[in-house]
Amino acid sequence: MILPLVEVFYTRNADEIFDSNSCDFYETIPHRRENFHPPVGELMEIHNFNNMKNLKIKFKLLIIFGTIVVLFAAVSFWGNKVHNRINDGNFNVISEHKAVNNLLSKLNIHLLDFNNSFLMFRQTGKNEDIEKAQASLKTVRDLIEKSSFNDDVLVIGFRDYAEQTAGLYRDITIDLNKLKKENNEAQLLALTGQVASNIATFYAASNDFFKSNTLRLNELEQQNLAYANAQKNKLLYFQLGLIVLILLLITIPYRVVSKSTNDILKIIQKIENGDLTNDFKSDTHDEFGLIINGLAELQSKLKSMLGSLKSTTQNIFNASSEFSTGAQTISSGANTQAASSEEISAAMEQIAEVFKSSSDNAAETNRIAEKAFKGIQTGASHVESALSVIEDIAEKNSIISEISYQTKILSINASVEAARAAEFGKSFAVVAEEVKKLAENTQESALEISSVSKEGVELTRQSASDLHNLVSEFQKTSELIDQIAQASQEHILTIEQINNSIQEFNNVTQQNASSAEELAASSDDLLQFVESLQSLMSVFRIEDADTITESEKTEETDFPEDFSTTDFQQEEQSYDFPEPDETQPEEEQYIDGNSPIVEDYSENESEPDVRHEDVSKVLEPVEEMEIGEPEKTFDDTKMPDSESVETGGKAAEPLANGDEEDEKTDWNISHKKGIRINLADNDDYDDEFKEMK
Amino acid sequence: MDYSEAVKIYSQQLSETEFKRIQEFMLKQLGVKLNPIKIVMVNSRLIKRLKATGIYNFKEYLDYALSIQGKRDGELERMVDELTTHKTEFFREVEHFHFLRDIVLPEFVKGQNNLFQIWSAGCSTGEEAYTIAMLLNEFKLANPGFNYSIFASDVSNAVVVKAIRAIYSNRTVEEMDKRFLKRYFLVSRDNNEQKVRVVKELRDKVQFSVQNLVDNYPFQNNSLDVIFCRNTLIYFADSSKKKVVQKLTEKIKPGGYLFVGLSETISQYSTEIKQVSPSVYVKKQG
Repeated sequence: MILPLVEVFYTRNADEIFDSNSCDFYETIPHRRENFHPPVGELMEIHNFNNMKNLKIKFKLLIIFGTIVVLFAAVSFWGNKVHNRINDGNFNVISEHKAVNNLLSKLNIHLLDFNNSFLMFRQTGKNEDIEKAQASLKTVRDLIEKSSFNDDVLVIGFRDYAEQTAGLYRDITIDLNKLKKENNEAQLLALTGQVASNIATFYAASNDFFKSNTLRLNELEQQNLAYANAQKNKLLYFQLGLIVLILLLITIPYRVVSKSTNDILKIIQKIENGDLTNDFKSDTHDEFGLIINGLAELQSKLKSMLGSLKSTTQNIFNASSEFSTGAQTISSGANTQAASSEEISAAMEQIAEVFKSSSDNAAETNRIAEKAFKGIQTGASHVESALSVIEDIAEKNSIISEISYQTKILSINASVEAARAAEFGKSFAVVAEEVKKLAENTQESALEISSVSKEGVELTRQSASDLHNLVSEFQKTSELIDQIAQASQEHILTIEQINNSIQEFNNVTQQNASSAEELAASSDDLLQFVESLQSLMSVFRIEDADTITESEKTEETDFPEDFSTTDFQQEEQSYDFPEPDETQPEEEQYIDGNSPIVEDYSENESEPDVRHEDVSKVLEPVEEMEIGEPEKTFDDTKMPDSESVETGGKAAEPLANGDEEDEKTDWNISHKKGIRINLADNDDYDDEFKEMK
Repeated sequence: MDYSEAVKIYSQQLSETEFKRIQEFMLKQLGVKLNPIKIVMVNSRLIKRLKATGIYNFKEYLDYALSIQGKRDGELERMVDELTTHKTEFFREVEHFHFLRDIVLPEFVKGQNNLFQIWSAGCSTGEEAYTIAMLLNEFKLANPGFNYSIFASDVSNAVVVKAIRAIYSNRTVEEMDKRFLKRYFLVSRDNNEQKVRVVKELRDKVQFSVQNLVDNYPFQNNSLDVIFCRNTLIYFADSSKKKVVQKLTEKIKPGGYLFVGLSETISQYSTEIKQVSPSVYVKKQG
């Protein structure tokens, strides 16, 4: 591709620069720079072209002003020369005039002297007179010889004539000397006449010379004047031409500078207005080209920076809104945690209760078991002592049995003795018989006791061993119950720990909630900052208009129309509130003033004290304060001076308890005891608002 | 502010000592507990004040703000405004408003009362109070004879002023039911403003005041039907939490309700209250 040769000095005009449609050429420039390798033939051209374009403004100015200086010098030099020539001509004429006049007047004087001396000589005949005449004549001759009119034709003629005259006088002088010696009066007279006529002729010649010289000088003067006139016009034209040229030359840098600065100003203006969408590039490499390209570079960097900044702020915006909702979720998510932890806590308390009662039961059981165990142990020892008692009885029984046997033997002996005693022993025999019967009964009983006691011993032994077994069983049971009781105790401790943990967990949950809320507040702040940053940055346009409007369309929320597009009833979070009475359209309620709200407030207006009365039922007297001056109050409200605040505090003093007051240090803010605030100008702000459509 | 000043301000670091001063102040005067981890938050929040006052040093700033002069100049308040969190939304934690509408109010009208008195304690910029006001007004439309008084308070003077102004950005009402919006809000005439304002009728129904919850309240005992104190106690130290809960409870009528934030549990602080729904407590009768 052949680059069109653009004027060296003229960058493209701004329209061309900004006309993105005609940008094929310019768009290809960076491309050409990087990848384009022109054929060799074209290389020179481009090289030259670039050479010319590579010239810096200062060199361009140097060339222009150098040219001006050279031209100016040339014209001056020429003018000077012309002037000098005219001057010389004039000078020559004048000096020649002067010289001729001078010469002629001197010649005149000396000729007169000669004439006078010659006439005196003729009268007196004295030698000194003739010498005087000769001297005068010599002077005349010298004057002529020394005259500078050597090359002028007229002067030459004049000189010849003068020579001739001089010669004549010399001859005359010689003749005079001779004639004087001879005293030839007649010849002297003739000679004198000749001299006179010669003088006359000389006068006439000198007069002619003077005249012709004057004419010649006049002519010369005329010529000089004509030359001067001619040169003067020429010079004038040249000077005018030079001035025009200089003006032209000066307009070149002027135009370059003004055009380039205009371009640059336009570019800067667009950048200043935040429009970074224009592509511009200068292919001249002078300072302005460098500035424009520098601006282009700046713009592209700004553009990329703003682009990343824009996306970053968008990201921050998204992140902070996510953050906000996230923090919200955390804080409301803590709700489930708190609720469930409360449930767990309650459940745990129930479990603890159960464990406690089972632990108590176990302890009771253990106590009972121990009691039983002791009872059984006592029972066992009693059985054992019963056994020994029975054995003792059995032993004693055998003695009884022996005694009863011996008693029986004795009763038999007694009955035998009674039979011997016959009648006297008859009653005794009855006794003996009875004793015998008794002994037999006793023996039977003893035998029975013996067998019973044997069985008893056997049974007691059996139960003693059973009891022994039971004791060991009981011991085991007791140990188990003990274990249960201990386990329950441990469980209770565990549950207490769990409860503590839940409490801790609750605390953590609330801390989390506060942190989440703080986070949400911070992210709201962040959101506001980002929004203001975005609105600040929206000044900059870095994309094409189409894409911008599209993206902005999606971003911008148009209020309040936007609300109409959202169905709040479908929103999960939305608050569903009871349908208003359908028979009364809402609009009408407002328009005709039948709105219950309006009615309600008009009631309040007719009875303005109702609300205050209501308030006074609950509110104990507190300081009311009015804060006026909207500019002060809206964002940065100052409390009234501390004096009145203090009294405000004191008004609520009766409520304060003494201990608390003692705690207060200098920097307490306890004056904030229920200070009711009314802002006098509050309703004025309504002027900035209107009803929603 | 030029670059060097900005660098100077943002290079300021809150030292442990100064943080302790703030901690002590906040705990003693507001009952607010600042955990050591909050030093970063306090730092970044106070830098705003440093910038505004032109005192580019935390120590000097605190010397000033905590002095009598600082209090007199209102700097102390502005510092407190900055250090307290004023997060709120319209219809935040909507379950509570459902509870209020579906349970508390019907219960109230069944009784012989007709003036329903409710306090939004820790109202921040007023969204909660106005939400309540909208709700109560709606209820009033459906129940003639019902009337209500709303009190709202916050410790920060600046947010109370904002609450009274009742001017909010469009974003805050984006998710609100549009009938509520239409009925209770004005929109700015200047489209660039993107602001809404609560209508005068509703604004006048809420009485705002500045109130430190650890101080005494200008209400009589057993006088309020409902107190909303949501997501406020989370900032309090345990001891002050207990104190505040007990004081709040005192002001509620027996059978009245105390709403706290959904993440909060307060049953351990008072025996007079009983949980009836997540984070809703009723004052026991008698």
